[in-house]
Amino acid sequence: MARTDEELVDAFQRGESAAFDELLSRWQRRILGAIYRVVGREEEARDICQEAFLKAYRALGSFKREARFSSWMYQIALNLCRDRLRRRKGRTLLALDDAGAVDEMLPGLHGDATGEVESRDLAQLVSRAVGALPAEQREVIVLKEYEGLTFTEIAETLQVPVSTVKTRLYRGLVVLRGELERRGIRGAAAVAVPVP
Amino acid sequence: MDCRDLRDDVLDVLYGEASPASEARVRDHVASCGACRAEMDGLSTVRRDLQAWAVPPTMTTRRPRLASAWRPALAWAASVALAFGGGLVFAGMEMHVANGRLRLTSATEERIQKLIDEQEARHRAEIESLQARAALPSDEVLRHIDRLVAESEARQTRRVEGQLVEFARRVDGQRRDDFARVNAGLALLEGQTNHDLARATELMGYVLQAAHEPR
Repeated sequence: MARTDEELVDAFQRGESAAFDELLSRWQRRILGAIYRVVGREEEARDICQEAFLKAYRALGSFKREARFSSWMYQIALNLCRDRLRRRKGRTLLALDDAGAVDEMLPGLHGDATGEVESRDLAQLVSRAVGALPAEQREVIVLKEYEGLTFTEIAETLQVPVSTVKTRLYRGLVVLRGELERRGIRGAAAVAVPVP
Repeated sequence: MDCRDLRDDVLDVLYGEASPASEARVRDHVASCGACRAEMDGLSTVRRDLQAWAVPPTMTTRRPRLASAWRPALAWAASVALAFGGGLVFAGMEMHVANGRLRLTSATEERIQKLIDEQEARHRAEIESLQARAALPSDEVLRHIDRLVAESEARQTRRVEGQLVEFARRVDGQRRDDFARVNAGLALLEGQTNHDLARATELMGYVLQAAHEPR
């Protein structure tokens, strides 16, 4: 039977270095996917992922188990992502103000008469729309929608209250809905529900 | 009930994390609130759209599998074999005899160490590159700078000399001009003086002549 993350951490701290190997194999793809969705660049995501696991390897010996290993791992990865994005001079991947630029890059993507858009184009639109979100909302969207973390796990990873996670998620979803609807993607009509 | 108060419960329901009580609250509310019903539908739809974005296949390609968990029994057997010296590599473990001692390193440690070494080499190269750019200028560059400074100083000197010459010329001109005026003035004064003197002499002559004539 496969050992849990906590058991592997214990084993590593007792000197079984191969336990890290197992943690790496277990989490590498997911962490890489999350990083890619946050920073939006493949090679950069690989660099950051490598750096994240190196940091984890160096620090795992003194990991105090105040959080789950996975939350800790995502935390390391997201901190590195934030550093990298800050070095891009604080710009989001694509500001919503650059909507004109998005139009240029994706001509004719305003949907046909039925409002349907090909799935490949939809993927591109979604990636750009997520990339245009403020970093805080983007992180929560990625962790919730793509990594499937619970609200509690996300709160633990980001070290914010659950209510804050939900606020950021809600705002992110509303912005994304608006952006996709603007481009003729099928969706519910905008509803004037006040955003708290 | 204010729709805003239900927002967190709505999210819990959307993501399957709602307690039975929350679910019931949301269900009852949306049954009578068209706005919230539409809002939930809208959020569900955008969630579906978000799933269209998949990570590129190249990103999900597994890296070469790291060594599987070691097999202690085989490792022990290998260590026994190594008691007679030599090296042995198997099942992801590498063993060396160094300085008469058996050293076991896992492929994980080696791989990690390799990653660390590569990263350090990258950082060293970056530092060296920065140092090269910040390095002091070479002799040739210093000589070139000296030349530029000397040329600039020469230009400055010529400019100042030219200005001094011009100034001297103007001062001299003014001086000659003034001197001429003074001379002219003096000449005029002298002329007037001589005339007066001649006139006075003439008058004196008349007076003397008159004094000596018989009455």
